[in-house]
Amino acid sequence: MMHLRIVVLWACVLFFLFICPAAADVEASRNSVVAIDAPGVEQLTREENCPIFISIMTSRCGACRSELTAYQEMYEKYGDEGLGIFVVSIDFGTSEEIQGLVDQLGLTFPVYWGGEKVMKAFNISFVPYKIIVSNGRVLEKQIGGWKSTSEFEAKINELFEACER
Amino acid sequence: METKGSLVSYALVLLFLVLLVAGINAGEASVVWEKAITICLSCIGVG
Amino acid sequence: MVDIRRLIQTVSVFLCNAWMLFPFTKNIYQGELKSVCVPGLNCYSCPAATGACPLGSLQTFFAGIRPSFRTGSYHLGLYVIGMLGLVGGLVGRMPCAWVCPFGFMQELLHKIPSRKMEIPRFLSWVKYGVLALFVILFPLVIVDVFGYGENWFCKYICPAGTLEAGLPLAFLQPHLRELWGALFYGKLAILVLLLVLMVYTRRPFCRVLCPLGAIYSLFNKVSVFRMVYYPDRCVRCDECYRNCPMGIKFYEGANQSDCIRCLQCMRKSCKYGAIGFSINGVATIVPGPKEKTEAVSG
Repeated sequence: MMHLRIVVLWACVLFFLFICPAAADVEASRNSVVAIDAPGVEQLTREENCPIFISIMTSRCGACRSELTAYQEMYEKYGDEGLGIFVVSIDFGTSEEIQGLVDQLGLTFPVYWGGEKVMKAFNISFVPYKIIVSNGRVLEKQIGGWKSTSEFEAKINELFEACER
Repeated sequence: METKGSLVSYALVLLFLVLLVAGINAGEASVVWEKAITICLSCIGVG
Repeated sequence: MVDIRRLIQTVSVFLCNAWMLFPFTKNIYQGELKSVCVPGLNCYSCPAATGACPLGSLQTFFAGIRPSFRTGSYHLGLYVIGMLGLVGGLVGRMPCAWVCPFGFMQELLHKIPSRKMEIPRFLSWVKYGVLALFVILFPLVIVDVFGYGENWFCKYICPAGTLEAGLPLAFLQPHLRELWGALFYGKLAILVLLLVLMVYTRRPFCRVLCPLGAIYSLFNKVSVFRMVYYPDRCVRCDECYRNCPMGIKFYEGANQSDCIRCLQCMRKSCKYGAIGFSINGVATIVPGPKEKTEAVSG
């Protein structure tokens, strides 16, 4: 009886391992994730764009992933008007996971990989972690995802008005 | 009966020890570490 | 006289939650100790936590299994499965009684004087459902467009997470409260319901919901450490049942799935020497009124 239960448990685990699709994406990526260090992230806040949204995230965080589509949508809409969007992944080890997301979503804004060093430097424990910059000044550092694309868009429009051009 | 029982125990302990070492070799400890030191908001019920 | 089990439980609570600088850093501990799972249920998002939660880690591996295949890292969670199996194979469900902080809290709350009730027995099976669905199946199969699953147990059920992480972090970082929604209040309701139940019944979370206890319980009958029953000494006085933190009757099975090997029945309840344990198949000598007796295990 007890052996049976253990066998069934293992059967379940193995079954779902083998039906998992292991197919790798072979399509060449157009937007390569670039490695970045902590001073590099600081440098991003001094880019010419206004406003600037820097989102520090991990690939394993659901709230972070779901934001990426909103970023892409807004980047396509307002990128030409000066909106800056920079995503920094702090996945440990390698940039492979975040590169996979970039390829899959066809993201066109700059995506960086900082790893655990950036995490330590910014003392981050929550993701997504956002840095919002306007006119070269850091307005907010906040945690948590945008509730909706429209909330994000409202924030962009609010900040656009304050931008000195 | 007791001897047979303890053989099963040791086989199990050995099996899981092998799995544990295999996991460490595959670099899984750092995955646990990454997860444990970043608070993902959904895990504490806020997102 | 200090009860050795209480002492170990207390020490364990402080070892699992030894990061006492959190009121100043307003943050969780981020050192390398956290790459090791503790054997009990202790949220790794607790500001004081010094180790990782085995259940949370296990779900993380299952939820990320497809991306890990895609990137070729093949992280199957063997590290956590191996650790759980090793502990279970050695001592079965013993960690629940001796080192689990959440189990300890349930025993303390049960000391509050009140009318006590018993939980219907069939509810013991619920935890296997929670394990199969919320810890294994849902994180594995319900995935988003990127192939990532979610930590279903952590996200929708875990009362330890709400108590140890959700509430304290909201105190340390008040802006977190702005993010409270239906999800949080739902989990809070589960926690409050369980806290109330803990006063009235013995270890309700362990017996009904805990997937970690469910995993360890699978090993109870085959672990190196096992309980032994000496039936011809037992007089069915039910004293073991009255003092059992899990509400089981020892004579119904020496290694039944809800036995957490706290040894309270052996050390305190049974005056007839009907309860003992064996290590590596060798039974310990139990002092009792009868000289010679036939041991029955399993």
